[in-house]
Amino acid sequence: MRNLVFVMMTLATAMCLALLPMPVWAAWARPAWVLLVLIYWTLVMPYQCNVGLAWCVGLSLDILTGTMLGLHAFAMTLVIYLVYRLHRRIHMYPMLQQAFSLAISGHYLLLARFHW
Amino acid sequence: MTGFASIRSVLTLPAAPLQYLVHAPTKLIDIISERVRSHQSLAVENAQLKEEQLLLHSRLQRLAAIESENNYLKTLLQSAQKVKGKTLIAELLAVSTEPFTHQVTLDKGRRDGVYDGQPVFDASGVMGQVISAGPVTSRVLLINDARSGVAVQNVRSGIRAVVAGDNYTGMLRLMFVPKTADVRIDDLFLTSGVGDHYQEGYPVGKVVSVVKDPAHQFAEIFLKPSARLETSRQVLLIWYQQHA
Repeated sequence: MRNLVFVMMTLATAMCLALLPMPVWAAWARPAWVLLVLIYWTLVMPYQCNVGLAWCVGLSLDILTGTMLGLHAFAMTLVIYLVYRLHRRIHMYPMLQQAFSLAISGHYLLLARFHW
Repeated sequence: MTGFASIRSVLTLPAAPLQYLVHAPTKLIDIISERVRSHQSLAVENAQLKEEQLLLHSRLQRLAAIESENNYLKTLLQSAQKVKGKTLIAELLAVSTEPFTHQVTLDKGRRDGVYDGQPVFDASGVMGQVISAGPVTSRVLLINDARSGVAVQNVRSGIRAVVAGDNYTGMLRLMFVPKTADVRIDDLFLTSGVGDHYQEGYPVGKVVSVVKDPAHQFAEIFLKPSARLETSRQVLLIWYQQHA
C-alpha cells in the first residue's frame, strides 16, 4: 500500500514535469517523463503496476494536455504491455541492451506526437 | 453541450489544481522580477506609460465618437450587428507541450461565462478561439494551429480569404487564393466577420511571403500573426453578438 502511494507521487511529479512550460526550440527535447516513470515501475513491480495503471495514467495525461481522449492512454497501454511481456528478459540483459530494448517506447512517441 | 463533450469538460476540473501547481513557479519568477526593480527603471517606465496613456486617451475619444456614429448609422441601416460587447481579461495557465499543436489553457471557464467558440484576442490582434470550456479553465486553439481557420479580409484590396495555421513554421497560410489575386508583401489582413466566429475588424496578420509557383494551382501566401502568440501572458475574451 505504501508502495502504491509512492508510485502515485512519482507519477504526479512526472505529470508536473510533462506540463512544465518550455521554450519552443526545446519542445522536441522534452523526455516522455510519465512514460519513463511508468516503465520503471513496471520493471520494478510488474504485478502491481502494469497495463491497467498505464491506461489510467494515459487517460489523465490526455485530460491534462488536451489531446484526443484516449490517445496517450492507448499509446501507453501498448508500450507497457510490451514492457510487461518482456520484463523478465529485460532484467537479464546487460545495461546497454536494456537501454536499447526500451526503444519500443518509440511506439509511444509515434502515436502521441503525431496527430492524424 | 451534450453527452461525451460535457463529461470531458467536467474531467478538466480535477486537472485544474495540477495546472495551477505547474503554473506556480513561473508566477513566482514573475513576482520576484516585479519586486526586484530599481527606482530609476520604474520612473522611466512610468513616464513612458503616462505618455502612452495620453496618446491612447486622445485616440479613444476619437474612437468613441466614431463608434457612436457607427452605431447610429447602423441603426439607420437597421443592421443587427453593433460594435459593443462584454470583455474579460484572462491569464494563460499553460501552453501545450506537444511540438505540433498550438493550444493554451486559460484560467477562466464556464463559471465566468466562457463558451465554446468564443474569440480570444491579445493587445495586438486575434489569438484564437475557445475549443473546450471547462468549469474553471478553458482551452484555446491558437490561430497558427493547423486545425484553426479564420475568415479574413485584405485591408488594401478587400480580398476575402480563409487563413489557416501552419504547424511547422508557426506562421499563418492563406488557403485557396488564386494566383491572380491582388496580395502583396506587407498587406495587413483583418478578420472579415464572415463565418460569425470572430468580430469584424481585428488584425490577424501581415503578409511576409507570396510565392506564385506555376506548378501549383493556388498562390502560397504566408502571414506573420499580429498577435504575439508565443509571448502574450494576458488575453482578452470577448462576448460577441448573441452570446453577449
